[in-house]
Amino acid sequence: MDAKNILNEARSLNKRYNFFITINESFLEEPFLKKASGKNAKPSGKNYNEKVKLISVKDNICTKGLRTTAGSKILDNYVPVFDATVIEKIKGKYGVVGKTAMDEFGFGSFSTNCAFNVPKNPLDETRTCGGSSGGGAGYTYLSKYSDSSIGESTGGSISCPAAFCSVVGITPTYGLVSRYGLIDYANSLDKIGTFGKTVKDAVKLLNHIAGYDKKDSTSIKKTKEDYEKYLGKNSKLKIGIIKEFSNGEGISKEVEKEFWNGVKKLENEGMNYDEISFSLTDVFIPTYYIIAMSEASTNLAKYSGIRYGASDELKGTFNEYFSHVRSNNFGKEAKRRILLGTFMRMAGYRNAFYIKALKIRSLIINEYKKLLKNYDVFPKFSEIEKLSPVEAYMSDLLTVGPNLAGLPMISVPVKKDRPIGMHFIADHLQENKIIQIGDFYERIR
Amino acid sequence: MKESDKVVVGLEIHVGVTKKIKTKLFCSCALPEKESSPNSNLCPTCLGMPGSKPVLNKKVLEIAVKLGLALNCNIQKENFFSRKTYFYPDMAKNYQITQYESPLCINGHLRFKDKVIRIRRIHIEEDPASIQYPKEIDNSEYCLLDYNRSGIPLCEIVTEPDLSSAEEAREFLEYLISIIDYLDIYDSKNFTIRVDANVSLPGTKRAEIKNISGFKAVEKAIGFEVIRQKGKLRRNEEFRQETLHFDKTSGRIIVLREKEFEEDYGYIYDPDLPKIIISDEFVKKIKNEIPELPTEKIERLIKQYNISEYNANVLVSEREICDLFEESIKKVDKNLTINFIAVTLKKILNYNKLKLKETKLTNNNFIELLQMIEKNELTPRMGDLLLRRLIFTNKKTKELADEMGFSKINNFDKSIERILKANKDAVNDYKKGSSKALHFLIGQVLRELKGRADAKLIEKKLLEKIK
Ligand SMILES: [Zn+2]
Repeated sequence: MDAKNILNEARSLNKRYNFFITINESFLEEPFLKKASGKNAKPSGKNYNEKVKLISVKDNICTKGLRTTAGSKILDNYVPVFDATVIEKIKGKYGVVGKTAMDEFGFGSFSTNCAFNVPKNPLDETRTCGGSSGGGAGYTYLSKYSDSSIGESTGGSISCPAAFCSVVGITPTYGLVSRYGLIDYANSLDKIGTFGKTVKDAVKLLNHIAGYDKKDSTSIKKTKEDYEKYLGKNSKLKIGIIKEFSNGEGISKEVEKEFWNGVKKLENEGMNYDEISFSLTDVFIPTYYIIAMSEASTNLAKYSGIRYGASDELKGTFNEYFSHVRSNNFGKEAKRRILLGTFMRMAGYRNAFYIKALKIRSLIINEYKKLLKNYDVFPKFSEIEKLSPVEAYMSDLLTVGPNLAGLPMISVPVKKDRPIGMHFIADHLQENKIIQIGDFYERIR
Repeated sequence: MKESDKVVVGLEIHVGVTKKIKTKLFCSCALPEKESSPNSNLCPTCLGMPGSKPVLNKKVLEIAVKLGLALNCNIQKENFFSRKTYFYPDMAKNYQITQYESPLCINGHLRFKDKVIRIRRIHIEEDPASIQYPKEIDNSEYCLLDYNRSGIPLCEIVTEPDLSSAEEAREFLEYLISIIDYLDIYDSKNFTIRVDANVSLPGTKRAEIKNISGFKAVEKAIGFEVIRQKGKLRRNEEFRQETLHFDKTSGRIIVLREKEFEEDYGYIYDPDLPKIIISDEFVKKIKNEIPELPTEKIERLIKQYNISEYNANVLVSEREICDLFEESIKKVDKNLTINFIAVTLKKILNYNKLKLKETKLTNNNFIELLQMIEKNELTPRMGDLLLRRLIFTNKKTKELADEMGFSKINNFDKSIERILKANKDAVNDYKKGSSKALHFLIGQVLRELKGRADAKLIEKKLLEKIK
């Protein structure tokens, strides 16, 4: 295979769909190409090592020497001096084609809050890719050369675009994959995960990036697990369906039909399900947004035009200078989240918002843990339809719960090439269960 | 005392606790030294680069607990770090990782003279970068940033407003630093302790003087602030809570900002750093590692060695001096040792503005010096002169004594004969009863021996010969 074709494909897809913020133009000089043609040979596209797979990477993950903007104008010219741990881990096994389009800092569910071009849905160019990891999901669906991608989820940013673009998305347990080198949105919620054309593709990439990292204090210490061994299994899992999400309220008839079709198919294969009740679903959204925005507003403080963030003409006092830089370079949604997040952690409001949200978050985690004692997985659906900011936030209802609780989840298309996802959730560190049922469902759907 | 003279002072003392550690608080950067060139000890984490994450240096916890126990604090079981968010050019992240909300140590106290100074809290936090102004803070056109300091572990000690004068504040700081020295956690060579002082008088509002370095400067700054507040009182001016800067060079108090309200830092838990649980065993272990502190030491020295309170105070002024004393008296006479430490050594250290630990004097060299005096191989005067050079050299006492021609001469019969022959007039004068003449003769012999003999012994031998 000629490696130039890979770049050409990325360029032409990008022209039409805007999947990338930056294409890795120095891709042809990657060391693995050199290796394939002997020690002293010059790198050449013709000598592409077929063993090395190709991936795209969400643009909020630092890549040494390759522009990383997190989808924001304020980081337009930012070139990291170090690789994120996940990038170090894939070195020599995967080559990075480019950095994929996303909502600014991950602030959105549709990849439409973009400082750069908005990526288009590969199944229907008039629709969005879902967000915030939209570009990676769309590219994975269309590319002939790349079958997986590194994404990141804070409140559903892997499951949502996976469903929209009809690919598989795995969001692992919080702490399973190192966040070192991930440009923070909300540190207590951010999780790096994978997309794949199939469950197998997503799992293979997960195998490479999962594992303890001493550079991330929230990384989980556990022995390395081979997730591929859970593929091709027919073991029966017990399914719980959360009534509050499956009663059809606010969900399109078509999506609802596909969901129950999927459930019936699993039932026919001998998997039992119960409908169960989850008491806290009405506070998922406020809890999630209070915590996420409070953390985000501190994370974004560093972009002040002094060390980080676009620089501007040095004029006025320090306060005037950084206010100017931030006003000119943050997008509307980023500003909204900074203002709300700052408000919610200020003295006088802090107890009513931030502290209360933390308390509710532990209640939500406890309820999930309690219910998951009796069930292996919870399926949900992940899909949506035009919205005010508040309505847009509400669209995360199906995904923020497990994200708040840090639970592992997988979204698998209900059928090949259909932009509706079947979404399974399991208990902490039970990636084995979501992989088993996702892979099983993919075979019988 | 007049009501208007009741000065109320509280201190916030930032101590860089770097002595026993190798790396910064949240990254693996080596600690910079005073001579390090600016911005040379850096990494993505202490520069706050997007994507970097903090990892706690656990050794700092041990040090902070040790300090807390020494200042009689309660150690909190559950601890977490917070983000204190504010925009300032010395903070790469524009938030500081601190334990402001959950201080590791609380409710301590320190007996100081006849008072008890309450310690409100001690917490760990990261140091920001250092800012250098080409002129003064309020008239510089630009400033320079050195991130070497960014991420250095600080323990912030906050006292209650229990101090009542500028002088007392300085003395308290000196006492506190002696305890910190005993704990061996602070490296005075490479780091400067910085103090924020809160000052008020009856009828005024609390003003905070930020970032004063040097204890003399603290005393000066508080003194100036008291005068400024008294002046405002006299002129009947309105008081606001103010943040001040003390410019050391010009001795000026500069008003940085007037604040109507406490600043709001919008604290959140730092989600990059997990909770820390401090176990009872951990506290117990650290407690056992705490050395004897000055107050206990003074009591013990007086009791154990039957020495005066004054001498005991001199001995504990530095941990190393007391160790030197206790080592020496195992081999040398106690009174000789005390005298040589409290008078001679102290005088030499003060003259050179040095602490014992900053000199090259070893216990062995000092003991050998005293032993030579004891054995009459050196006169006390020679010992004094020798010690002045011993503190700067790696040479052994004997070696240096030889080099300086300080070996004492006991056999000097020939010199005596020569002097007697050459000064017959003086001998005759002595025989006629002039004691002056005898002193003259002793002086002549000493001069010939370059002072390397004992005057009493010379007198004895002279008298033998004259008879
Ligand atoms: Zn560092």
